[in-house]
Amino acid sequence: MPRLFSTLFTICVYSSNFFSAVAIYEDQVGTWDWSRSFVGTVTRAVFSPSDLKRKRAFVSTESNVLASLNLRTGDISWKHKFAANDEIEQILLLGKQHLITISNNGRHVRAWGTVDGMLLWEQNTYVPSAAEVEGGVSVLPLSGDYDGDDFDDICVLARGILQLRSGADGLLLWTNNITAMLEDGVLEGGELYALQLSSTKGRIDAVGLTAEHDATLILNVDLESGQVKDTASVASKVPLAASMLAVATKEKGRAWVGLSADGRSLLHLPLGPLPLTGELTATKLSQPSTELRALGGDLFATDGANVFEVNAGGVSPGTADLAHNAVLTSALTLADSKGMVFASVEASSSSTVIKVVDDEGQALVTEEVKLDLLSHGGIKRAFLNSYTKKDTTPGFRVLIVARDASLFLLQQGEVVWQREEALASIKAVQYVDLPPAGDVELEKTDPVDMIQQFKHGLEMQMMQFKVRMKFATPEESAKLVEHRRSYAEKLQMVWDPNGFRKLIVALTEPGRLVALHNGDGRSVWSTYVGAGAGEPEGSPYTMLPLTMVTAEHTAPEVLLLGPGSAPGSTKATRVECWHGAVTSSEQLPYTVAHVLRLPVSDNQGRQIFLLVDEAKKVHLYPGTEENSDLVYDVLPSVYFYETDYANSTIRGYALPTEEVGKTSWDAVQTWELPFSEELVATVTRRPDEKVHSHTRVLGDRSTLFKYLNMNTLFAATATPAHLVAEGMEPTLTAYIIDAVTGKVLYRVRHLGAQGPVQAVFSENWVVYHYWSVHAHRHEMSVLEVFDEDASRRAPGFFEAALMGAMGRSSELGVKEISSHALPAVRVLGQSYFFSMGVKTMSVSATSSGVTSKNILLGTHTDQVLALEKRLLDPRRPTRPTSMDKEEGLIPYNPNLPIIPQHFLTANQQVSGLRGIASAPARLESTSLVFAYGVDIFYTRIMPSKM
Amino acid sequence: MAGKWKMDFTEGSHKSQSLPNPVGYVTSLTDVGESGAVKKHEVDPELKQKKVWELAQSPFKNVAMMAFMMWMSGNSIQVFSIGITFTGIFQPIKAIMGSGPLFARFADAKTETVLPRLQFCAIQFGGFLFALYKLNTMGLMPTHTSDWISSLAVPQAMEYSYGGNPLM
Repeated sequence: MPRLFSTLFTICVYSSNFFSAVAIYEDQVGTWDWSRSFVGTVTRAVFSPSDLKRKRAFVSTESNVLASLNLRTGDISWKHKFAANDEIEQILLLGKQHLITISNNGRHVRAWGTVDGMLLWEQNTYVPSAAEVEGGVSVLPLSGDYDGDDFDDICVLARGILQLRSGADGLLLWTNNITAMLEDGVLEGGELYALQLSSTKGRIDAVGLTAEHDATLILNVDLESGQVKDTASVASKVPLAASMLAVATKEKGRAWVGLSADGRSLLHLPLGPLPLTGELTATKLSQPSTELRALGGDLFATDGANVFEVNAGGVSPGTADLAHNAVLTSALTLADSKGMVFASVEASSSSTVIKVVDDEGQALVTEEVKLDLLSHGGIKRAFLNSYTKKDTTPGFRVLIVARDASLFLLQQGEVVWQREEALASIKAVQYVDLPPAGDVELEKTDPVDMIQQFKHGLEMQMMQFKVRMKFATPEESAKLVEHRRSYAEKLQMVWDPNGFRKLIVALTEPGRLVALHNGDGRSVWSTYVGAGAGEPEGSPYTMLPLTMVTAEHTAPEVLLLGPGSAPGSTKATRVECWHGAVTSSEQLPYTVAHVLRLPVSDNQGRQIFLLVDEAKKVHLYPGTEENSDLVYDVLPSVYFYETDYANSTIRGYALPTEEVGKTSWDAVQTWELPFSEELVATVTRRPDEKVHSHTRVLGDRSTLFKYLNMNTLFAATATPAHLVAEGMEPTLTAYIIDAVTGKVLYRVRHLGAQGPVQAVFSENWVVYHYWSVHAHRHEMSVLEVFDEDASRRAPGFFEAALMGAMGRSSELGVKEISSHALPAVRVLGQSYFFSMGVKTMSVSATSSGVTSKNILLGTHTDQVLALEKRLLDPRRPTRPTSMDKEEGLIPYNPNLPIIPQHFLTANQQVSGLRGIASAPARLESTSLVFAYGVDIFYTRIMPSKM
Repeated sequence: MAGKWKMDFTEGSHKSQSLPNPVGYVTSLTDVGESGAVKKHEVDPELKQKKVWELAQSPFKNVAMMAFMMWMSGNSIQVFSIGITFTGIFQPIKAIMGSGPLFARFADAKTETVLPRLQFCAIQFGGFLFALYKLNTMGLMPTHTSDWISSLAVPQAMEYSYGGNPLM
């Protein structure tokens, strides 16, 4: 009978929607999808020379992005995401056209065009070898041309190798492996950290430490030949740290300053022509420091705003009058040789004060800007840039990075622009319903003019026709796209019956909680929940739904858990999700390693949790006596497990049952599953997943019963990399494990395969992606688990027909399934080749689980691909019979097809893609998909196509 | 004078009544008066019975044609085969339902209508059965357990298990 209905339904669908297409038309891009681009938390910034027309700031970030920002608007004019293992270490401008980056332990030197971000040249400084040399990475622009191409050259220091390269094309002029040279001499094992221009013309100094860190090491190198002319080392009484710099003193001399290894002393040495004599003079610091920064002239600073001055006798505290909590910028050389300046930026709750200080320690400019940076967690970094005003006096602009990763450009006492960069590092995502209409006004909406709207609609229909028929001009197409983007209905701030409109609440790494409207991706509210100014670094590490399915008129709440103010404590913050208000915040006197979401809510509809600390003590949250009574009944059936990747072990725990009226318990370890290979991945089903059917009907009308126990865990182990390197055959083993008892339900070995493994578990199946060494290709496998016992207990035909005819078939069959009486399972599996690498994997979710599933793959190319589940079906036959055809099985093909139209991201990329979060709409057909990385992307899909 | 040259057409009929009919003309064959109707009722009852039986057998050709078309349309599920099969189901039902008034007009003391009607229904029922068979071969009949238990409730796990990698 259901098949009859489904057949009729199919007929209706096909007859009414005959021309429906899988992909979208070009002009439909942006109708339901949007994307936003970010750069991440800025770590380094350089500014385009002031005589260039296009004013740009070139930044590199914690997300390993190199980007050019428009200084007038803050827009990204171009950006590049470097690979994860290719960390940017230094950026500098060479002339007007070349932006030089050095990355991956100094191995890669690249030059980028400043205007368009084009890669101009790329060179490798060394070939990685087994014996890695300690040492720093430094690149020094030489204001001189040594190869005669009229272009300034650069000197590169990487892992003890010193090179002179042409700035125009990166070609090598000379290279000198200084570390190799040191091995013969007395300075054996020395490490070089920095490059500095020497006091002798045509020479540079490479400075570092001896192997025992007991003396400085200075090598004077001739720039023409690359020959080391002189070496010197000056012994120190205290062990030295790698942080050191050269400071120009007023007497035109130079001095070397360094920190001791414990950060408690400053060491000073006047630099003259080599060889140097004497000993390092040490000055005690009042508070330990880790970093030194030159401020121009004979000023330099340690951590915080502690300014020191170098003079003939050594080091003395500077005279500059700066607030102790101010953040200092690096030194900046003013145009027309007006000396060097630096800025100090100080945040208070009402304003931000910028002081530009010259190399004498005198404040040149003091500006107060109405900007509350404390609500952004305080200032993290600041960068100073100058420009020439119309009256030829220098003007200053400051680029401020707040601790919540926000980026501000301050100029002439105003905030020119602001970027919310926290969204480049999203940690957790939660979809939240909007308030019902007329109840909580989140946004003022203008009354709708019906006639105007009708006219506009008609115009757009015409436009759409023209675009489809390819009559439209590019301007008209752009107008249509713009209209679709701003289509009023999807942008409303109220609940809709189809559940298409939602808030996406994102918890970010720097501690900013942002709610995005899924209509166009605008930020509806954002709250800083990280550590405040002066507090140690640390932001919430997890976000949990507290009240999601609520009465319509109360706002949903999320619970954030993060490090507390005292060590070993946890800060639990509740945030209301319609306005972003923090409703409560409390310190819990224990750490949280696991969160157990009990199937129990308190009388206000709030979820009750069990929080497990590191010592496996279980605490009730909220720990009231009332809640203790509420959870009493479920406690005996609560279990948890811990994956230990370091030891390749999974351990299971249970709660003691006999203790009544308590709010904390000691968990008992009940099982342990040590793997002989390295544990590489584990994955379980999402707890809110809805499954419609317990059965799968085959072509011959027989039934398979899905094994739908929620407490099922997938784990994958692989041969450890060091054994593979020794020539051992790599294997990958996939396990299906019962998470309550630790019993392995199924195990399969893939010979010649290795990780990394990406996997997704939904309903009764697991799909996982790995690398096949044998085939030299990526592979994907599917395992589908069926309950063999349920098929034996299935009702007979007459019982089923009778109950079915009465509409009571839900009363039939197995009601409950227990891990303590595990059924026999049958596992079907199949493997396929897949031509793309996968970074992250997810699955579509719909409101009652009737719609077929799409597997959402975040590919190595930073795109999102929706793969139909029926392609990954272990029942795909090699020679299909008519029964197989009737079941709708596709004949087996070892290659999974990649259909370009199935890329949800169309022609875009989600730079640095890390995760995909899907959620059901209220309409069964539709699933909402949010992909995040450095960029964010949202769309909605209909996995069963319509 | 005037009367001499006058021709009165209306008078002709009156005159003709007095005239005898032409030779060989029999009034009873053309007159549709009451005497004729009585004669029709007196049609041979055997002939009538034969006509009823003919009506009873008449759907056979139709049903055979329908069956042939169903056979021709194949067992795959398409708009055409589904349409034919559904017509094959509903047409006999309609015909059987409407067989009462169809045979009622023949009903009288001398004519047997029950048996012919039964035969009529049997032929139509045969067509109906064929259509059901056809539906079954197409796989649209709920004759298997699996057709009734697809909405079987998903069993709930009795334990609750959570966990994963430690958060910190």
